[in-house]
Amino acid sequence: MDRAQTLLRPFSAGRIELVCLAPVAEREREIKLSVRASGAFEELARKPAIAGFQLSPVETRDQDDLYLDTKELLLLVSGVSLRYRRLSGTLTATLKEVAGKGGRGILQDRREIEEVLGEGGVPRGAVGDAVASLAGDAELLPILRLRTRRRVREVRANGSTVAELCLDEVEVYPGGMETPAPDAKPLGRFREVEVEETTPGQDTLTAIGEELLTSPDFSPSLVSKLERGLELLGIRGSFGEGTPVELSTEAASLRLPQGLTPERLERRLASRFKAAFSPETVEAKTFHDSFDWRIHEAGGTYQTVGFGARRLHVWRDADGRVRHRLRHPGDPGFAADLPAGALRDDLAAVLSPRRLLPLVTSRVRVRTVAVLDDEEKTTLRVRVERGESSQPESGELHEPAPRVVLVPVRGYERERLRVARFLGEECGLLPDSSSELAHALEPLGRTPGDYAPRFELGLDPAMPARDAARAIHLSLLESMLRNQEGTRRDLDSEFLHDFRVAIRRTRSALTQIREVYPALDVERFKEEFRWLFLETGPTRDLDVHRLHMEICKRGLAEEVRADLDPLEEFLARKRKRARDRLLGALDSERYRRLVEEWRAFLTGEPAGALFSRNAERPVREVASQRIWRIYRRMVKRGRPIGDDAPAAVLHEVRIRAKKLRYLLEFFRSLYPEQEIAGLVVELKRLQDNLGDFNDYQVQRKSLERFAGEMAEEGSAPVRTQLAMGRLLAQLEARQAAERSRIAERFERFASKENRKTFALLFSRGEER
Amino acid sequence: MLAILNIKGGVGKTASAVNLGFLAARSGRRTLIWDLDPQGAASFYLRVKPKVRGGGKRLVRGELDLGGLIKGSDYEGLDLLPADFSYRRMDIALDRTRKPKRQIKRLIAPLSADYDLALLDCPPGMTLVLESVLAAAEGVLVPTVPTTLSLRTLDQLARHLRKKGPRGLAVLPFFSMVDRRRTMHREVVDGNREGPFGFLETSIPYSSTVEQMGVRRMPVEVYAPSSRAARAYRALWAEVDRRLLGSGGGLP
Repeated sequence: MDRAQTLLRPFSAGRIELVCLAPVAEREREIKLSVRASGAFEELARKPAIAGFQLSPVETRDQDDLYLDTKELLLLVSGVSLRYRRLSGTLTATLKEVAGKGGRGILQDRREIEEVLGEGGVPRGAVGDAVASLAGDAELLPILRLRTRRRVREVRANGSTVAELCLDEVEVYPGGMETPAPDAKPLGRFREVEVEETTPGQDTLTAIGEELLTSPDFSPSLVSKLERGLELLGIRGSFGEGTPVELSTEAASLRLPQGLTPERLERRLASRFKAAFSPETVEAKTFHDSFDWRIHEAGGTYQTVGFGARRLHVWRDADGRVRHRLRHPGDPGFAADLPAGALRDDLAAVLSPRRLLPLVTSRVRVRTVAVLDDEEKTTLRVRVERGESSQPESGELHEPAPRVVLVPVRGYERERLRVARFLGEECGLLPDSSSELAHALEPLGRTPGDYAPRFELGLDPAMPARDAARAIHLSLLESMLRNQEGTRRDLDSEFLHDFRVAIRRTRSALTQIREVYPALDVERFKEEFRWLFLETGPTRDLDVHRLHMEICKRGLAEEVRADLDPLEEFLARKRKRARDRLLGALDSERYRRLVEEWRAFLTGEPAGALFSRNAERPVREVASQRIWRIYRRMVKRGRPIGDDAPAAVLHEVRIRAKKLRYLLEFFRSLYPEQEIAGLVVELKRLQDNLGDFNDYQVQRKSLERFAGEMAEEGSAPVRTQLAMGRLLAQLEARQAAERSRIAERFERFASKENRKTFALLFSRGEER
Repeated sequence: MLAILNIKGGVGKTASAVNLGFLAARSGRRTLIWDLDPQGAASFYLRVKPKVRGGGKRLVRGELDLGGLIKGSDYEGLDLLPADFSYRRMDIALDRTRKPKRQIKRLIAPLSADYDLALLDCPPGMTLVLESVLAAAEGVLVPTVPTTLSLRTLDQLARHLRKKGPRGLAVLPFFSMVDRRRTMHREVVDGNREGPFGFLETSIPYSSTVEQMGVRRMPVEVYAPSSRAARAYRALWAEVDRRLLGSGGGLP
């Protein structure tokens, strides 16, 4: 027992200061390991001995722990957690440091105080005092419940117990004063091994830790059970840590060669240079991006570090410079969720209408070796990093390779070169150009930018058209499925959009890549995808409506905007019904079967080519023929497309332009990139133009319809009707503007020059 | 950019610069301490050898750029522009330029992308260097020993700044080297909690812990984090942060 006069002093220099007085602090020393696979875990329950210590038979305990904090999580922000545990009728409150002395290595050394609670369950003794000094009289609320099945084995040396080995299986439940029902479903589960010292003697823990870590199933756990639980509740961050160090942009990272462990490297460094070692610390941060990597595409990263009121959002540019920095307790989501300011405006421009999602939480154990000069002055910092990445959704842990980062100290370039040469030439370290984000994502099997909505697929010109079509369709199915979860959860509007684009492309490929599949299959799947497209359509229409309305509203006077509130409420109700229909479709047997059968069709043994005469032909031939044909039809239908062309003509040209664009995108890789890129860009411009024109048309129609429906419901006051009239006028004006551009864009696309390119690429020599 | 200055010397100015600079860096701000005081010890406290001679004059003439002279400290995020004995003659050099008052601003401008905060440890006395610093700074911290004499000096400085200083310049005096065993110290501190000078709430105690900085050559926070002095500096930084840099956490 450590009878310190002061409990919970500053954790160490560089951490949160927390000085609250209490008479007694007990100290808990333990090692914690995360468990990867159950094999070694179960084996531990049976082993007779470990690292030369005997193990007693297993004794099983069930623990039911409730964690409490204030609404603003003042305790966690201060670096402590408050736990209530009931054991055989007694309720005990424990206040514990989240990060221990000297940071968080595998060996944790944390102070805690305990108090047995009387009637009413309010701490009034040492724990109560400490809580009051941190949280004032703010109300304590249950935030999380952890139910642990703990199998304990005593670790014995010469017959006396020196430590306890605990095999924990933890279930995470949301906070609540009542015990969850027996059939309640936990938010998540995880396993952990803890070895807690009962008789001081450092060697026990170290010896057991070292033996356990020889198994690949165990890795050092850097996170408390509470933090893992909170992550499952969507509360991310690190508690009790200071703000992580921001590395200067000149920091260079290096990979360790095979066979050189971080420990050996540290020893080699120390034997060569005058060096000072700092205690290990843990730096935790979460990276965020939109599903389609908009921050990454713009050349940056968005990170959050710290927790609660101390949470810091940092948006960096590609060169590592801070573009924005903001203290804000929440997760970043939509730009509009952030407080008004430069960060929000900039984010809206890059991100809208998408939202930021957590990508990975990276925790890195850092040991810093300072290389000193003869005045004991630091001239270079060598960070030896061993990391852990956790998947935000599942909390699953993965381990990236260790690495070494050289952080130069300004004004000491010569010293840096000397150490860099030593590490490279004598220790065999290799430059590692992967970014911090890429490094953290790697063990999750992901890379930055691994999803893009645009269609990309490399095809071989000589491959049979059927195989090419199957590859195209599989890639589209993949894209659909990747967007399914976000669509289901309604994370942002673009999941559904991309989901439907994949369906539309699938349908287009089914009809446009002709006679490669048996006709009966084509009919069957066309019908099914049509169904799926229709079921998901109304929600998308309402999304488009909302997005457009946002834009149009900016053109209206402030006081008129408020008049549109009833319309927005009306649309929200409508969308709710549309979403129900969409979810019904996604959860249906019909959808499940469609995906399953479609995949089987695309990957199974292909049907014979008897009735599919293009199936075995080289894809390039089939593609060229089709593209050339659609192109000529489109140009022919459109010409002349003067400003007075009837709506029916515009409609047809639009449909053909879309077909053509999809075809060009599917088969892009078969043709010289430079030439096809120009065509696609011009076609896209025309098609956007036609598409917007059509969208406004649809919007106008539906706005008129809504006005009627709202009037019937009696939910549109006169002011709203008037405002809707103005909205309608806006839509008309915008539509007219689009209309006025069509002729010119069409002419540019249908130009002689483009025609030549088309003929050259696709016509096989006829009609040059 | 904050200047730490007092017309009198020996008031704990350099200790404040080093300790506040350290705390600023630790809170995530990239911080530069510019040791402008040739007698000061900021460079010494941070173990940087004051090497470059003649830098002051050449700087002002535009022959040297500031960035090349900066040395990193032992603490991440905290850099130092070392002292140079030629700063003694910087006044003369400044006087020869066309717009002496704008020179510091001109010199430090290229560094604004590298740092979030610059702390200028100014030499004592009313000099041209000081005028030039004042033209560039957003705020001025004035460590003041609680004696009646010091208050008079502070009054002079405050008047001068009101009359000649740039508009909107925040002047924040705080008590330094306070020895509560001395009656006069107690009376001056207690008597000026509220009053025309607008003293910060935090005062730095007279303490041997601070004096040890010369032996330890580190900020107090590093070798004695739970000392009274360290606590006082933390409180002072929090107050300065809130008052001058307006955070909540945002950056100046």
